[in-house]
Amino acid sequence: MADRRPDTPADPLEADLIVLGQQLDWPAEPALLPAIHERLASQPAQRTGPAPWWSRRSRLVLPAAAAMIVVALILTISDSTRSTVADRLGLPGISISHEPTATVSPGHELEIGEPSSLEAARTQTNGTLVPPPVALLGEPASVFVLERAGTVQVSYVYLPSADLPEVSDTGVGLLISQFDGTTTDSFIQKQLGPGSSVEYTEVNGQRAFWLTGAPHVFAYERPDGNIDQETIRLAANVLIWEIDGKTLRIESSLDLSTATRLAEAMSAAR
Amino acid sequence: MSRYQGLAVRTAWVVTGSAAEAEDAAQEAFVKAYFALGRFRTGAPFRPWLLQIVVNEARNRRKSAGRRTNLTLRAAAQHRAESEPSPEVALLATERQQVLLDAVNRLREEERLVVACRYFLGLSEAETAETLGCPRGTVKSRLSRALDRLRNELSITLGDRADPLDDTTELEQTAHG
Repeated sequence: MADRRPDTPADPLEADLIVLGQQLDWPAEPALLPAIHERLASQPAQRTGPAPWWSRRSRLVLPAAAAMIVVALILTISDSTRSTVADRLGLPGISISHEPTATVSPGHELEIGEPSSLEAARTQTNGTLVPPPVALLGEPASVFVLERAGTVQVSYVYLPSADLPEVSDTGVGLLISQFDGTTTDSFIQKQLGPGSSVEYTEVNGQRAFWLTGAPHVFAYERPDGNIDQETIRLAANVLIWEIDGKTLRIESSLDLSTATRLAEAMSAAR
Repeated sequence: MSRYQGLAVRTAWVVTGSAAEAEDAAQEAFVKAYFALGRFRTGAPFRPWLLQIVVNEARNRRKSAGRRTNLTLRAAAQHRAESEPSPEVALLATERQQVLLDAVNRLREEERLVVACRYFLGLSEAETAETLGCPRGTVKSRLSRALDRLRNELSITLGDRADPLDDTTELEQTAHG
């Protein structure tokens, strides 16, 4: 869906509201997982509505029945949904094995556009596409294209490997995205959330930004002069740099020097 | 789940205005989402589906508390960016932010939530609609009304004062020549 991301702030008030959002006294991110697992473990049969007939049965039956219900629910939904369940909620005590379907591209849950191919992306970007660092990482597992407001965003998804640790529980090892437009020090600074920091660095002698601490968003200026906001998809370390009027972003668990090598390889390939 | 817990808590916070209630609401929402997986539509985006549960849970908690709480800014010392050119400009920026936030807090509840979803949480129009359980057209109209109200309030409160909040305006003007 092309409109999943925030629309471009069309006027200063909208830009001010985005900045304001970064300055709110947001609550610290709590570690909910242990408490939720504890809740689910202690309430395996929690349901809404009237108590089922079996709720009056032996307590020994209850956990087994609850587990059967949950497993039955999971088995009746699709592979992608099961993947969503496993990847995102982390079902406690239940192991789900499934084969990925051919129609689901790795990274489809990141909401970075529609699955595509390098050739199609090259055509859609009128030959301005910055190719992936094939020499260092090989071909990406999937390519996504997002067309919006006259610009084309292309993303390369790499699966986790020995050299690319999985980022959080996303099932992705590395994400490279490119946008039409440029960013500024001010944009980066203003959009930094609590606990995030920026380090100034260089890629092939050009200014670059290294964001750490699970940054949330960053802003950049599109070729038409409007400001766009882009969500950090993996809540990972982020390297942002520019190539010929495009802003590029690497999200991964890699350190700065390794990410920089990838970025320099991409810049050199242009 | 760790990928969504921060967003879930922030979403609950814009409804409740309380960090403690937001955390409780998010936790409860995850549990309810777990038990509601059978109603999750195959192929539908997961994030707004989860956030709708979060919002509903947060709304229930706020109603139970019987009060409306306001969003707040971080302490001035923390949110003054190091790159502010001068203390005076920083003070103006802080004042303008507070005025804008006060205006947001005075919006009608449904308008405030649309503004929060779109600009504070970074949700798309479609995600906002699903999260708040209303049609996209309603999101559009609420957002339009909310922005009009905010413009009016800022105009009355700040007059024609230049916007020192950031250099976005300057950049846009430069870019447009």
